Amino acid sequence: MISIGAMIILAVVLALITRVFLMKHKLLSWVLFSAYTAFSVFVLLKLYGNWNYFETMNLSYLVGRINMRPGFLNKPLGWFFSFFVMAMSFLNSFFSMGFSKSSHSRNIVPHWLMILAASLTVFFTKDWLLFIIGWETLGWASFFIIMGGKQKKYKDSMSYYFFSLVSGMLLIAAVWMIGIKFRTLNIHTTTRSMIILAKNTPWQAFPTLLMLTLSFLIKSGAYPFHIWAPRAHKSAPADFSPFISGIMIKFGIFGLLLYVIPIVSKGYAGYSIFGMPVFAWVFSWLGIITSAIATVLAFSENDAKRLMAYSSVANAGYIITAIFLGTALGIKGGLLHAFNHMIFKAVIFMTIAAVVYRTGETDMNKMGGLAYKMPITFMTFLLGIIAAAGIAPMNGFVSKWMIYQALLGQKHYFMTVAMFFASTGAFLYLYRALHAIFLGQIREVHEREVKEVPFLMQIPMWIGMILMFGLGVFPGYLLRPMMPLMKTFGSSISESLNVVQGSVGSLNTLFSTVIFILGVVIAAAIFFLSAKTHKTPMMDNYTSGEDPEEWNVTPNKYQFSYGFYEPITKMFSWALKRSVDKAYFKASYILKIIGREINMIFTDHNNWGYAALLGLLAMIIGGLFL
Amino acid sequence: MNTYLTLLIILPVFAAFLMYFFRKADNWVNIAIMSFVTLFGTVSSLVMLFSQGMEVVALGGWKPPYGIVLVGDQLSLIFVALIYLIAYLIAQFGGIERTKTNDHKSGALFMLLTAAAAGMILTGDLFNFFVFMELAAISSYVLIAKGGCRSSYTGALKYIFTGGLASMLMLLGIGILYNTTGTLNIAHLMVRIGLVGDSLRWLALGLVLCGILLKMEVFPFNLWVPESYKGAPAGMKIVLGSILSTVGGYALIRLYPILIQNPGLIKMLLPLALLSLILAELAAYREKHINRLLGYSSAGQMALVMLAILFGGRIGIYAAIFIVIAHAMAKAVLFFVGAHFKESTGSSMWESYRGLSKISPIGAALFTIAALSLTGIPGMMGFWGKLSMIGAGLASAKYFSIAIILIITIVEGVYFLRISGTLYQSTESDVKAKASYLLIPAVILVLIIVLVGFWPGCISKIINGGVSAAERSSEYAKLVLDYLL
Repeated sequence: MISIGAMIILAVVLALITRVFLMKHKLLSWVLFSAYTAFSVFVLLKLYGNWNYFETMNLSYLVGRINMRPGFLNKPLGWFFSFFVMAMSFLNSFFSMGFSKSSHSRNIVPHWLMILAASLTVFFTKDWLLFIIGWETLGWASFFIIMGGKQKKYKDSMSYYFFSLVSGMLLIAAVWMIGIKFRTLNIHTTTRSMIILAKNTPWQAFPTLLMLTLSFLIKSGAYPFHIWAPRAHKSAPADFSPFISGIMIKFGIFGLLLYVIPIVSKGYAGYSIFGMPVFAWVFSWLGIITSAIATVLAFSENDAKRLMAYSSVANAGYIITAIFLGTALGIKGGLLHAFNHMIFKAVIFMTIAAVVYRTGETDMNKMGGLAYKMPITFMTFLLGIIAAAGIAPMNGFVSKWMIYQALLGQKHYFMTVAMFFASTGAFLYLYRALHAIFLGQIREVHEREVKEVPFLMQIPMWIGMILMFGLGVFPGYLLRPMMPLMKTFGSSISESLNVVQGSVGSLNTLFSTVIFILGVVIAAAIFFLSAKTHKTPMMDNYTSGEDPEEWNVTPNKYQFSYGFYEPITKMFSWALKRSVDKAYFKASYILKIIGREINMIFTDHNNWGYAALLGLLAMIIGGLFL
Repeated sequence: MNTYLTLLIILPVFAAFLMYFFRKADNWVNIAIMSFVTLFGTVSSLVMLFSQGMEVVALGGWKPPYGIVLVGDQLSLIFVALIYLIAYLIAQFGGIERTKTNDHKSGALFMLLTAAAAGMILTGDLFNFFVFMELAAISSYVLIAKGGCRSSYTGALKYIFTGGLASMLMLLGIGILYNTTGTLNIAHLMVRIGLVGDSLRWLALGLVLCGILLKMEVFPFNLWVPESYKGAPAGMKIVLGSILSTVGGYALIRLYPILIQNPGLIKMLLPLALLSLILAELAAYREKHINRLLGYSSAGQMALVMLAILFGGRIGIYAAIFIVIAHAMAKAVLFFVGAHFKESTGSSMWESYRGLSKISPIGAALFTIAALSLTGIPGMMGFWGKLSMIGAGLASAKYFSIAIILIITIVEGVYFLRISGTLYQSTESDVKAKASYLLIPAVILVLIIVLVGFWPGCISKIINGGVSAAERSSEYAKLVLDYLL
């Protein structure tokens, strides 16, 4: 049995080897990466079911008065997240092998391996110290990967790293407070102690809980910490975007489920509102607000990656709402949506990366009509956005349905309505992306040069399509293995292959898929049996037969979906005017001015006397009051 | 064993005169003398440190508290080993300005500085400490002024003025202490400090602290820092950042038992340290010249050390020692690599270092690792220091200070990684890497940083010894005063 510690060390060693020797050999690096992730998946599969497995390493760290030996525990929550991280990285590696032939790809394997090592650490660790170490490593490793993408300045990666640092600092402070209070840094012990503390004296538990929640929410891109997401996802290398948008955004969710949700759901004895502790209710609403705002922001986006980044943020919002409900159904819905989202969002980003590979573009207004040139990519993207919009028969439908059921079951009608709004909006902007990239008029330069991506890059797309459809028809294939995970959250429902239990009913996915296929068959029959089609050129379709040359529009210039949602954007301009983005920008500007002024203190000699006085004043006043 | 302590101070002085003797010879003679002396110092202090011995030498046979003693307990030996290691690396590899010509003057002054620094650490007598401090200061004035650009002169002048003023104040404080307690021996002072009346004690300690805080680059004594760091020659920059500030940190740790007897003093120093931290790091945030930026960062880190000491307790002292060591090493790496970058591109503005990772990948990696260590990222030495410090602060319930420290850490992380990001951007410049031998000492130090980062246990035992040495003032007094009786 290979130990988890060995896997982590192996990843670090491989990262070092790749960084030092193999930076120029991209293909070989990706092959190594592929081998490593495949091996990890194999090791993880062997670990499944072995929930009492633990290992301790032979080092000991003395931190303050707490002596600790690092160790790893195999628990379902950590197992599932690790499994998905490794499996999706494995899929991605095939894609990257093909992508690495492109001239603007950089070798991100060493840093990605460090991320994998850090992920394993975070997911399996027994104590908070290793958690912190893993968390910080995730921060700087992904910073360097995002740096490697295309950007004129480093502002996008700095924005990401800033939020990562804030999250890390909050985490360290909270963990220390926990350590000082409970005299131990073991995660399980502290969870149980915290539950007891929250039951008896909720106000004492509150600061630590708040800090931890904020730290994890920042990593998930919740409002008002969401601004790093579109920037980082856009600037990241195209083959890393699937990972950062699909997987890394979920690490915050992992933290919440690991520590915060058990405390908040098992009896936080604070004030209650609508049958939920106030703490949880506030954050549930925060999730809804996040999705609503992300949806509105996505309407005006013209860049494919930024649009999908907002979609990720919105989905993270749904998950946050669902898990803070605290009920078994809510947690199950949230978790299922998290895993489903990992799959479909990664697949969507892979298709976008495929488009980048062929066209070098992510600006949707400069694309169009690629469906005939890249049919597999188009199919994958289509299935992906159907899943993302939460429409049967894809996997996104099941998890979204479950979240709605959880909300309705707890009688949160307002939240349900708000979520419907966000969800419908999601369909609007996702379909626009589809049209802008794949349908409509194709540009001349693309007409000549673009063809489908090589088969190596298609493998993960095919697998993704099969997964999305398969898990949509038979969600039991994911829900059944998740039963031990749900057991830790107190639910012992046994899952069937295609019937999903909700709160006000149940969903038979096989049945709904059959109806869907039946509908497709009927529609196809009507299509083929009716009158003969008459093919018209697309420009005639768009321009209603007029001659566009009269308005200086050539087929090349005319993008059908340009400014498509302008009316909607106008409708929400009152909200878009006050943006958190501007607030952050203003804060950073103020910080710059302060920095410059302070710099002047040191350089301008006339100020020295005042500086000395300032120091003296600080001593006296501070000494009196602090 | 007994004579090694004295040798640690005398040998560099002897080397300084020796270099003057050989002034007509080639340059390699100079380098050989300096390297041999500093290497000897490093090895012997490390040997003494790891053999857990406690040495006290009464100079001239005069017993304490009448004579001057040299004390080599765990705390002193850690610091002596540290500065000798850095001095060795500078002596061996730091010679950019000295090419063919035999610059015996700089070498001699550097040796005197090393001797003085070692003396400051090893001595057990307060006035002796002052004397060595002055020796170090005067050597540094001249060495900084040898930088060759306009800032060297302005920086040296600023250092002279502030340093001179602070020395006067410190002398006054020492005088008051001598007058009231009748002794200058540090150990004896720890015992007899209660004899001094309350307000006089505050005055005396405050005056003495003025001198120490100047070395530690605490506001408002750090106004000399940016200019001096900018103008000093490359080797001297490392001395300033890694050796002199380290000695200041040592002095504060050594005086800790005296300090904690005056909780009011600690209460007053805390906001000063916080202010110093905030101002230094915010000034660094906007700085475009890399050496001034590193100077501000130095000041900020020393403010952190001061905060750690002020938080108190075993964790606080542990954190302070750890941060000092981590800072000395990381700062030396940053200056070495910075000098290498400057030689390669000809500019000291970090914005012109865009894309240097292509030309000097090792240099960029070393810079990044050292910068990450200063910020406190796990995997490097600085993480354990920062972690312990936050623990110390929370344990002594100084929540406001901890909040400020965490926010400032974020600022620090941003500006350091900004430079690192600039290094890794893509560019089409065609500079060549020069002076790559400067990277060798950086590699050695980075290896230590990463080793301790992953396995802090290898030095934590020694540091715990140092903590005990710092904390138990009664034992220290007993050790010194009774040792030779």
